[in-house]
Amino acid sequence: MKKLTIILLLIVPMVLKAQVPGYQGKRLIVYYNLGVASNFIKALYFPYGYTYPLQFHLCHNLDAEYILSRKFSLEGEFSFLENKPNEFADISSPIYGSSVASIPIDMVSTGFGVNCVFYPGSDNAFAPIGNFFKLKLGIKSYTATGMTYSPDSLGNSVQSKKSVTGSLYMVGMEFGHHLVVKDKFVLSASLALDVNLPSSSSISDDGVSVNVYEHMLFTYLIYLKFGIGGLLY
Amino acid sequence: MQINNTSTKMCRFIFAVFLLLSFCVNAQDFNNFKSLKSSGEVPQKFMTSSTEKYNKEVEKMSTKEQNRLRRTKKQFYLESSFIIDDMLLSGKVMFNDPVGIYINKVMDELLKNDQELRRKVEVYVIKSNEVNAFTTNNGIIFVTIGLVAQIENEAELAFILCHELTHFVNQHNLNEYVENTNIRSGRGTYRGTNLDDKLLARSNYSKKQESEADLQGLQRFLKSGYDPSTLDGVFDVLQYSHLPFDELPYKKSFIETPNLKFPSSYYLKKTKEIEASGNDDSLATHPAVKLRREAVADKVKGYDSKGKSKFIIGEKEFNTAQKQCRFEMCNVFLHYFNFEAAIYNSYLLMQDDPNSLFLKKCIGKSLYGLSKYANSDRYDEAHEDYDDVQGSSQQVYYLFDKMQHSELNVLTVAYLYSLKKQYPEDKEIAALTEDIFSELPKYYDDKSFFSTSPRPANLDSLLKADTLTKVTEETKKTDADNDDDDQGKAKSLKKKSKYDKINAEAKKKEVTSTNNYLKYAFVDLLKDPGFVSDYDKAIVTWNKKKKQKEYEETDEYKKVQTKKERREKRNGVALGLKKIVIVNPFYYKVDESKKNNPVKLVASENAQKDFNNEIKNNATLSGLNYELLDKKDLTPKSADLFNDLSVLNSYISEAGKHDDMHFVNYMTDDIQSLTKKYGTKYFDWTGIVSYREHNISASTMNLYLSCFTIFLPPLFIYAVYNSVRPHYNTYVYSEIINLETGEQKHNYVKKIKFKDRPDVVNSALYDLYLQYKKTNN
Repeated sequence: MKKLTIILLLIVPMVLKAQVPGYQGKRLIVYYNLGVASNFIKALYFPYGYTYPLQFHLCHNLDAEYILSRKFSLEGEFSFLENKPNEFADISSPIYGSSVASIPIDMVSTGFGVNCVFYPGSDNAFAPIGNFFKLKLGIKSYTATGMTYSPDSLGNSVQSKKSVTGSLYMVGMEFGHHLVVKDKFVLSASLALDVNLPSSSSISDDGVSVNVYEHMLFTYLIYLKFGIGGLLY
Repeated sequence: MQINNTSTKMCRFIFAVFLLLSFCVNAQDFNNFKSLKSSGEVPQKFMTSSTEKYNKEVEKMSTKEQNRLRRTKKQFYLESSFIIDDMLLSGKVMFNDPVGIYINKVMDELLKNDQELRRKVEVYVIKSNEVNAFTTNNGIIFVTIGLVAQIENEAELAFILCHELTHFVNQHNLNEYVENTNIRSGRGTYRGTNLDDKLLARSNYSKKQESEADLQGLQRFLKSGYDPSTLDGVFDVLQYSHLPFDELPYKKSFIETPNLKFPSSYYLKKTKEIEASGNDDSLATHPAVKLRREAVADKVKGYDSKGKSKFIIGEKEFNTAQKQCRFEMCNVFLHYFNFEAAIYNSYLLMQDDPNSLFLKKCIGKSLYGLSKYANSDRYDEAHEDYDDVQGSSQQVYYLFDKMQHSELNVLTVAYLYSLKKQYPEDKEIAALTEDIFSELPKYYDDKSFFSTSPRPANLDSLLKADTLTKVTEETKKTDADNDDDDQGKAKSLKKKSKYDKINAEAKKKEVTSTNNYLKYAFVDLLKDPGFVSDYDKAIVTWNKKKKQKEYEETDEYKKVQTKKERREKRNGVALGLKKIVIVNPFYYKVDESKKNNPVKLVASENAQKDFNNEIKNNATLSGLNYELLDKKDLTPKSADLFNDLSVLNSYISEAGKHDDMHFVNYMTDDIQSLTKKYGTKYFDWTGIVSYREHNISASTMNLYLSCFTIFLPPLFIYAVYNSVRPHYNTYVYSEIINLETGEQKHNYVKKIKFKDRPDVVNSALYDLYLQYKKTNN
């Protein structure tokens, strides 16, 4: 806390004194971003006999970016996704042995995050236009419903429907480009790299939770984002 | 009857007043000569955009011509439209100026029976000291003030105009361009020719056109009322165009003062012989003058000059126009740092106008310029080698070659200070004097060096004797007679004893040493308490400057500077300017891949229109009070804007040559009136260059993309696209100058690694204007 206060005390006067052009004086931008993610990374499982169908998932983000200097801005993010990934689970049976079952999951997730946006280019950066690099921190909560398999007394996997809720921590980064159109709108395209990890309180070894973690980790490890924003103030 | 008498007297009085008034309004006061300016309605050719002119020319082209020929012609029209407009709007060309009006009257006279051609032709005067006239394919004839200054009568001018008319009527420029393209590309009869043959072919074609212009021009001339017997004089003008407009021996007393005289060794005993030029025409664009003279003389031989005249419009008008050109030449010489030429030109003009303040100032400004460049160790940039000069003017070049820098500074201070005393109200003289005075302590930081006692009477004779020992190699070469003279003096010296000669020599050296004669330079001025106090102030200023320079070498200063630079880089500068004037914004789109024509002319002109709007928009949004002066915004009634831009163009091109040197501008009076008119002293020259690189970029971005391709294969497509797509850089320039002090307030050059998209340009401009407006950082 002490450190944070010192940092804030150092940064705030600098920010207040600095000439922040923004875009023609406008420093607050609200974006809608559409993330397009794919589970292609799971192709790494192919050698182990898993065959995953290629799936695309969408996530929606509402961001509010406030420009603090020529090269730096802070962004608050609200994210929402409703995915139906097909995950897989090991099913064991004394008669048929071990096999893999496809488990469709319905999941809804909302999250909040804070992003630091950097506009590189020595002294030639003009936030919010041009290339940017984002560091992201966030927390997400989810509700997922899916099938889970648990062994009965004979060792057969028994299918049961289960709903779980939990939370995830997200650390990520993003590389992209902003373009201002008609002095009012900002178009954005970026490549996002998010690492979604379960929070310690929500770690659970039930099949649905594990599959949700896997889906969030692998599908959103690398994905593309396209957005449109409005220069407000 | 009484009433009638009174009314007649009254009428006469009113008539006399009107006559006097009209004389006062039209006449140029040569004592306070004002630079030639445009007036009246701005001609259409100055207002039409280059693209529009180009499109019109293309529309007129015949569709039956071969494609290749059409392409060449289109390229010619494109290039010529933009080049001619650049010249028209450079500020050097004038419209409806007194000289231009006179030349147009001569043109009216020549074409009074060919009104259709007259409507197609426009004549403008260029402020250039070159002796030249030239024509464009769209009917503009340019005549330099240098030419008008040299010709001897109206008939000579008329012949030159006839010559240029032929160039226009026969479309020589276009034909030469097409021919040169064929020669360069080795097309048609030029297939397989070597470089020497190509050069010769180009030269021959051009010479053929010039001869044609002479002879067809002569036919037109002979039909006019001008006297052909004067035509020989035109070729004299051509042959001696490298000389000043007159040839008068230079008097030493012209620049010297009674208390500051230089040794005779500073003057040549004989100046270089005058040689006629233009007789060697090998590989030249024009035939040898001798041949042209003979060809014209042959046609004129036996022609009856009865009823023909040297002057039709009028001798008085010719003389006035010529005098105006000769005076204007002083300004042009100063602008191009031909200081010695400016002094000799003033010397010639002072024969008729010895009290002209304009000419006195011209000499003062020339001395100031020479001194400033000498003090900055850049004397070679301001001083021309006397060996390249012929005739009497060589004396001036020689004098400033021999003069030491300390002597030059003393002379300048003495000259300007005396002028300042004579004209105490003149701000320009005051500014020049103050500035050069502040540099005198570089050589003499103790005023006690200068004597207050009168100059010894025998000093002059001793300075003359000095020539015996200081005969220079150059003089020996140029003057064999002087050698004989020296030999005679040497013989008389031989009669003296060895010790007498050594003692006499030592005494002579003592008396003629620089210190000895220079110390009397300020005898009169030192009696003036104002001069003494100004000298004291100059010494204090000089010592402060010295200390500041020493401080700038210290680590402490460097640390402070680094901190300041870092802060400026982070936050930008905060100039706190209340108002700026943005002058002639420029916009260039450059494509590196187009080697022959890298500047996209039409696209640049179109982008410039949008750029002006972007400037206005961003300056308004940033809250900066501004005024935009652009040559592209000319309207028929904006002659004043045109004149203002001419002054500013001239100012910035001159300021650019001085680099970091503090220099009082030569147009101080004009500049002062502009700062008053626009209510600010801060003027901004701004522009954008959008640069498209040709090379496929091996950027770090591509490296990152290649790495990510492993994780995200679709990125491969983008990585390939990114490596082959054209790469753009946008350069934003802005230079704010305080016109009152000449100080560069801010110099802004930003390289932005994007295409010149509107958002990029807007961001850069808004950021720029915000920095100009903000007061604290």
